[in-house]
Amino acid sequence: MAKKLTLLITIAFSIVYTKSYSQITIHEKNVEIQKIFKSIEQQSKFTFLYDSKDIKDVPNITIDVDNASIQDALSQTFKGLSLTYKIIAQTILVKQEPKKPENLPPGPAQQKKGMLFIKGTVMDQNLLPLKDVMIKELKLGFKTLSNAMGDFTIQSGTSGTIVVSAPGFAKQTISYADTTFLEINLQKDGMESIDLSEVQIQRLNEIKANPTKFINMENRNYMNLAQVLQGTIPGLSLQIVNTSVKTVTSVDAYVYRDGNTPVLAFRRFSVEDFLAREGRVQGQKIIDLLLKGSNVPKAITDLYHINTITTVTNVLVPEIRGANNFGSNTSNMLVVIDGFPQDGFPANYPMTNVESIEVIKDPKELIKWGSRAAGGAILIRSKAAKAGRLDINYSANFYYAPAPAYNREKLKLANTATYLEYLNDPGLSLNNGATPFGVSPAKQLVSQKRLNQITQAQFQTQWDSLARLDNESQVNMLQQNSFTQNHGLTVSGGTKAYKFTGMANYITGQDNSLGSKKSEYTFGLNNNFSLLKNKLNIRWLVNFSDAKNKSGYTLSPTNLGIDPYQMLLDDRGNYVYDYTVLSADANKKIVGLGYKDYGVNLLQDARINDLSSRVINKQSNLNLSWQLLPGLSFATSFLYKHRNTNNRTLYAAESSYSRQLVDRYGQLSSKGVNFYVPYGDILQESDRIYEELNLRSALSYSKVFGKHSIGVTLGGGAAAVSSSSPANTALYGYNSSTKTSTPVYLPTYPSTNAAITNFYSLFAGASSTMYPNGLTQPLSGDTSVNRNLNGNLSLMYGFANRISVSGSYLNVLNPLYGQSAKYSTQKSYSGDVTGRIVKDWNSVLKDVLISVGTTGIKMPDLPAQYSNRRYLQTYFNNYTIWVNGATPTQQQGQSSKLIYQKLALALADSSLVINGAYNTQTNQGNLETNNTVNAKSNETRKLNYLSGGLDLFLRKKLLNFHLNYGRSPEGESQYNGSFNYNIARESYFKSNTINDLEVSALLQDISAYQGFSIMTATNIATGGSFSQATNSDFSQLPAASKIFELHGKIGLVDNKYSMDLRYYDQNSAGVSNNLSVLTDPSTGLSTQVSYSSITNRGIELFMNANLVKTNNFNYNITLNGALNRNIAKNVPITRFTATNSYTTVAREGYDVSNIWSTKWAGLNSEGDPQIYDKNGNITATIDSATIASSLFYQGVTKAPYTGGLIQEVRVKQFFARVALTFNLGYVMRYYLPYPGYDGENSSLIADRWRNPGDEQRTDVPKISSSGSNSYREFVTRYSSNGILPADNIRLQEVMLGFSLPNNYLKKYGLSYFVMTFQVQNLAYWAKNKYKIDPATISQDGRIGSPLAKIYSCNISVNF
Amino acid sequence: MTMYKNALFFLLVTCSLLAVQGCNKFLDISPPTSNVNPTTVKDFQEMLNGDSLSKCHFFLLDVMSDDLQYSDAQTTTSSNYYLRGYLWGDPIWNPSDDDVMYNSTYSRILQMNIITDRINAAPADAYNTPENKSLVLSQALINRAFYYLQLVNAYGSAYDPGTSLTDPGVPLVLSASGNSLPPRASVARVYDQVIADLKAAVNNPYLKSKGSDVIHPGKSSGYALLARAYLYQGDYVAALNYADSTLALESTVLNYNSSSYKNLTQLPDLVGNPEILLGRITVDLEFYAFNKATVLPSTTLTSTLTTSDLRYSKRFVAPSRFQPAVYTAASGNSMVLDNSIGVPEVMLIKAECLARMGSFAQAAALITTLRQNRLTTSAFAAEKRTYTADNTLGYVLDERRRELYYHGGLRLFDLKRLNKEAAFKKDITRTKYNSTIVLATLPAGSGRYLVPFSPTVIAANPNITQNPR
Repeated sequence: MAKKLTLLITIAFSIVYTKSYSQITIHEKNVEIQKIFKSIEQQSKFTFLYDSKDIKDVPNITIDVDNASIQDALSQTFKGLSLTYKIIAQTILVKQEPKKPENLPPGPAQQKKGMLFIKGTVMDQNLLPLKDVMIKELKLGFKTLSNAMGDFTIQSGTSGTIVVSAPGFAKQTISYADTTFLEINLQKDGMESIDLSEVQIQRLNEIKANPTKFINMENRNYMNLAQVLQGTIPGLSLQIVNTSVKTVTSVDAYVYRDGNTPVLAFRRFSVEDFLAREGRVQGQKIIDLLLKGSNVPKAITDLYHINTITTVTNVLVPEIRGANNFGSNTSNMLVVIDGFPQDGFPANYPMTNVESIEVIKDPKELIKWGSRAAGGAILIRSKAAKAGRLDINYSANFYYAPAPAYNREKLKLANTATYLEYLNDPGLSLNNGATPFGVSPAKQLVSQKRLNQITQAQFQTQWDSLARLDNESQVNMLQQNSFTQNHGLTVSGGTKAYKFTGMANYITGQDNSLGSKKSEYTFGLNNNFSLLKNKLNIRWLVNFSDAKNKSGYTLSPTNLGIDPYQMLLDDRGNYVYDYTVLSADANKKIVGLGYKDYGVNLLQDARINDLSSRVINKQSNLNLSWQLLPGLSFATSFLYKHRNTNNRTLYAAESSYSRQLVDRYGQLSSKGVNFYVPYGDILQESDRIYEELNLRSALSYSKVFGKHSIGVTLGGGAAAVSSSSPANTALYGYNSSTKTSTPVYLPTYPSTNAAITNFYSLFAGASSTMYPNGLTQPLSGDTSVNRNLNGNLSLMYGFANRISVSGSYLNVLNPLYGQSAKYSTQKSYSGDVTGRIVKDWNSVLKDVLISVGTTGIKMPDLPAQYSNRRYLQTYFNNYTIWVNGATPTQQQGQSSKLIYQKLALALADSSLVINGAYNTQTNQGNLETNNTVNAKSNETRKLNYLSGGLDLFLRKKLLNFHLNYGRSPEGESQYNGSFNYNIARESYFKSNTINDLEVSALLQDISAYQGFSIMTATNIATGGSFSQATNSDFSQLPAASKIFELHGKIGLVDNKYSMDLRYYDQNSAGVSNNLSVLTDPSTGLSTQVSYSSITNRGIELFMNANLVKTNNFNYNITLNGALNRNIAKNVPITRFTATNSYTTVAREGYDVSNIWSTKWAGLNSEGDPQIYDKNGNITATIDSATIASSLFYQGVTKAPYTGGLIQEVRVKQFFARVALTFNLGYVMRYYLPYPGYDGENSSLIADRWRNPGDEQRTDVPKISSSGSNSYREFVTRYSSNGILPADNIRLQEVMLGFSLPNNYLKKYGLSYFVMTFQVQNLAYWAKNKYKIDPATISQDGRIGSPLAKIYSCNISVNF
Repeated sequence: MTMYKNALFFLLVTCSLLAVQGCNKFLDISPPTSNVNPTTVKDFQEMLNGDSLSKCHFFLLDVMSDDLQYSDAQTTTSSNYYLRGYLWGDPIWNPSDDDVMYNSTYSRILQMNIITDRINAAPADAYNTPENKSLVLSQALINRAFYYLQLVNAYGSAYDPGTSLTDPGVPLVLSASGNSLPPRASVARVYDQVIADLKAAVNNPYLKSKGSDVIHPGKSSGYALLARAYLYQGDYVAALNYADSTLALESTVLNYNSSSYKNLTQLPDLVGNPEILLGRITVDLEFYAFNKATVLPSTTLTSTLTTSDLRYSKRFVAPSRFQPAVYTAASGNSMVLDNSIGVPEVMLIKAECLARMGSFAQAAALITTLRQNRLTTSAFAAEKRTYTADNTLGYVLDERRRELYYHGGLRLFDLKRLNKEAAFKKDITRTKYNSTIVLATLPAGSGRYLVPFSPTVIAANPNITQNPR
């Protein structure tokens, strides 16, 4: 009986530790066991093998499991039966319980001690965990499979042999003795199938894989990407950064003139066109700055606005470790799905078909992904198809978000009464002359009154009629409710030789901006071929999408464009025009002469204009590995991307744009108006084609003959990225149905290029010439092509473990514009000869190796870059180049060469390895990456130094320590090291509660040149295929990075409770050219390039408690928190200027989001602002010296404490999830008005100081005429009274879901059905006294529209 | 198997050979067409095409002169740098005001510095002929000299042989490296550079009299700028010499009577005007934005001009019962002012030099020619003037004011230099509109003639010393 029990326990344990993730749901009462078997077979990949004799006498069974693992299902099934079962590969062998278990070695000692188990992890050579690897204990005959994290547990003896095998990997046999843990690395065998080649990870000193970087997908397939990330990755917080930090759809830039037509208005550009207009470097810089939203120079915020799609779903942005670079758009991480980098963050990406998610934080790995991944990378791998089985999954998501209410009171905006009262204050300097141009109706009235053009009575009548109007409710018509649906269908299947996964996706819907509409089809096909007896393996991914998007009117509450009394519709529903540009009287005059009405109505324009775009994407990725001959293999990787973007702006004839344009080109003649532009719709259409090709191939040969082994790899690659847009002209009088337009008329005398005069000449003191010919000139198109070629060679020779010779050479050629050479060359090389002069000498000194070798890197010689814009001047009909920025060139032919002689000693049975080397480094040119002016110099520097390293492998390699000292290619001292100790796996460590305990530390230093080498090395084939990161741009050196990390984790009660704690201190230093600085007085440029560094320091905490876990009830709590500080170093000193940007400028030693202010001391009895000076005395003397000396630190505007609390509950078929996020320890700006400017629209102006005594109740000073940009304005708007705590906790999400029980599933022929309901942005708690949601606050403290509540429903079905 | 191997080897060799050949072709591509790191002669030619080079921001200098006045409404408007400049206030700049005049001029100088830095390293190609190369350099130097001559007169004292070696001028940036913090070079040093650059530029056999359009300077504008610089230095012999050189190339004056001359609204309006040697305009957006109105001519300007002068009637709206005369606004939202280098200015330089040297009859002839083209036919016919050795210089200077008001500071520069002569020095005052109530006075030779540096400029380059007020 005891033996029987033992066996059962054994099985039970094996079951627990051989988790597999098939989800099995069975609800049966009193049925035959075969029926259960069949049901399990249907829901999993397992088949049962049994002798019918054995189960003849088995009683009927009742079973009730939901979404259980195979093991759980089996244990339920076999509970209490006299049957045993064993899982072998995908077969479940069922047997009558043996009378005498022969497998167990007999002996009372064994029985007393109980079972012995070995735990372990299986990984591939890249340290990626391997799932479903078969682990077999030879002596005892137990078998098990590894789980998704590569973990396994198997019963063992005190010593024995384990065989590990998995398809595509070389079988490995491991002998063990007195150990409880095995770490197994499988090598791909010759017949390998190529898998999705993730980034190859080159680890310095065998740095361990970050244990938290793979997300456990168990029971998470009903979630979306945001939900999965939120509760699983320490330090990763999903934050609502602002209402609009998402995908940039277009950019509005202030256009002074279009050729020769004065525009003086914002005009919308597609991102591509904007980049073409501003220059790629400069344009991207502007977009990144605006997306980042902090420290944006005024010169940029004044002239550019970005429009982003706040798709209902995209309100979360993942952030890891805060900003680690000044320049990059820190809040975004790069998401790569099956090898295709995504634009933006697909928060809603469903996890139904996801095999694994990997989060990369290691700077060394991130370098490979280029600048887009500066904030981290998330790699998502879809489930692979299974041979001989067709899987079909359908999922649908529905989202609804009501339009956020426009409420002036909540937005702190002045209503009609407040605004008019302020405007009519005699103290307000309002000088509008008698001009009919550019003055709002209310200002016209006030001016007319002041100039005595109307009587007080006339004024009052008209003023009162304005005062009765308020457009608050009508403004809500400028928004719409958002509704989006997303349908996805995935089909996978195939044979052994060919497997496929096909995906189709359809998204349609509208967001909150009025008139918006989108629809998108996506098709994808992942093909895997395994041909020629597995000698040729191909993975071919194809992706096609067609997206149509009509962008609507985006309501900007603080910048509406009309005053509160200006209505959109009158009582009868007719449009009411705004006559600010041209006064109503003047408009009447020109309309009387035959001109079109010059008025503007936002609602009309939003309804009738059509700004739409269509993007067609074609992408393909082919990876091929071919075993040509024994020893000879060929690998190639080919990436193709094609994107066709069509942007179309159709201004309807009735729109203000069309009417005004026609009027401006209308010349008054005796017979009426002579219109040079035909009246009608106006179409502006542009196309852009983006194409990217990246081909990399390598041929490898390796052979062993006798004691000799040789290996040769020859590789090459080419990349071409092109983007082009043909020149286009606007079409006037466009007819959408016939697709025809009417030409623009041209003057005949004296030439067609002559000027005409328009209606301005009707008004005294105004004149204007227009050149109709300019309208016929095409807007300049553009083409940009980037290419490079690379070649690499590596050689290896080895002799009987005695001598090894290796060498490599890598060359990248980039086109060079404007130099005598056609291309620039950058190269790196290495060579090494190592001989083992002592082998297995004695137990003290085991081996002695000596080596000589060389490494080197040489930069291309590139000219200094001036960012600029080249464009066609329509009037002069020629191109011009305008330089608007300068970027230092870090690559000017410098080189670094190292020659070393090295001695390595392996001591004490190889548990201690020490090495030392004598190095000679020759550097040519200036390698200082902090050189921002000129790196060119002929200086040669020779450096001799000693380097060394120490490696300790103790406690059966459970305690490892590495430390190396050397110098970077730049000649800087470097320490690299790591330490890790896996205490829980120690044989002495015996605890029933603690099952996982590990500590580790890391010291990593990557110089800019080393980072550069990592980037270029992504072109080299490793491990039989190519890494996925494609770098086609090597123009800038990556930032140098230094990191120190301490990490500890503990798991209790079989990981029921787990905790992970990490401290990090990372410093990255590089060229940053986006710091907000004053205009450079010697070049007039407003951005300054500087070499700066940023220190990220923080703690990440992750706690998970699986409080209840039974078959029917599961309750899990996750607490995820981080403390992060980003300290600026080596930033240029910005001297005091009384500007908003000065209060937030990067300061040495302070957080990059620091904010400073003067200390507010209230108003004095004259209504003037007062501050505390540096001595703490109240003063109303506000001058440069007083303010500059009394500014003090107010805190940070980015939360240092962030985190989330997630609770998950599962009751039978139902599950629920509640996510709370918190942001603590930071402040925000609260907008304070500065009375004195006639455009002020804050509701707080009603509280302005008017009479002595008012200073008791208000902080808003009296109206002043000192003008803008004054010290008075500075202290009024940017003192401490405008700084509020921004701490907030929000109920981010509540989700309810259920999965369909088995009996229903069967009825409909399904294998899986899950439905969820969610609400996002349900509630928030904010610490500030006004209860303003900090997530809606803009940089200057204005309040934006409230975050929309999003209601959604998701359905996922498997057939 | 052997055949397979051979075929494979052949394939590899062919591929690698093709690759080597294809390398050059693959990498020989044009750069992006929408942004080009300027390196070649063709790029520099394109840089010189920019109409921004002709669009300047010197209106503040006109506001500080005695040629305009503010209405009462304009003087009581919310304080701004134009108003403070009008009243020669201290300060002119509010703490965070950007000095657009300063920054935009240096950004134009940067464009020219890139050309002068790189022209000698331009790769040999079809465009890199000695002619193209020297033309690019000459035009860059003339443009740069124009900007520096403006800057030194705006921020520095009038040239004085006695003190200019030490009088601070403006930072002299002659190479395109940014973020250097140069102190102010002396006025004399800036003048030396301007004159040296101009002389180098005109000493070019390929340089034609006029450029391909109003944006491109030709030899005539180089001579004209030399004449202007020497005049400001008080070197009347050299000024006369270069004025003559200019007029020998270009001497056409536009007759305002017969032509359809209209006040400027944009740069192309200068095209076709024969007297323009180098087109320069100032488009002022903020003045109109601040005041929602244009400027009023000062009473002294109005009385000098008289209403029969077409330079008045074509640019100002005649006063009405409700409104004084005002400058016409372009497109209802800005003021566009002509800052060009033209034949009339050169004629006036010549006339001034002649008058000062005693050749009053020749000077008078020049003035007469100019007035014939500027006054209405009847007014010119009615004009009875007797030019004498004593009065001619006065006539010339008056005519200079009439011709060059609102011309990018030329009147302010004249006031500064003439204040050094006892005969012409005067204090100017600001009064309330139509009143004698004085708002501000600017004594002759006052330091407040100089534009102060904005606090943002000084914060960015502390080596710049502020002009004392």
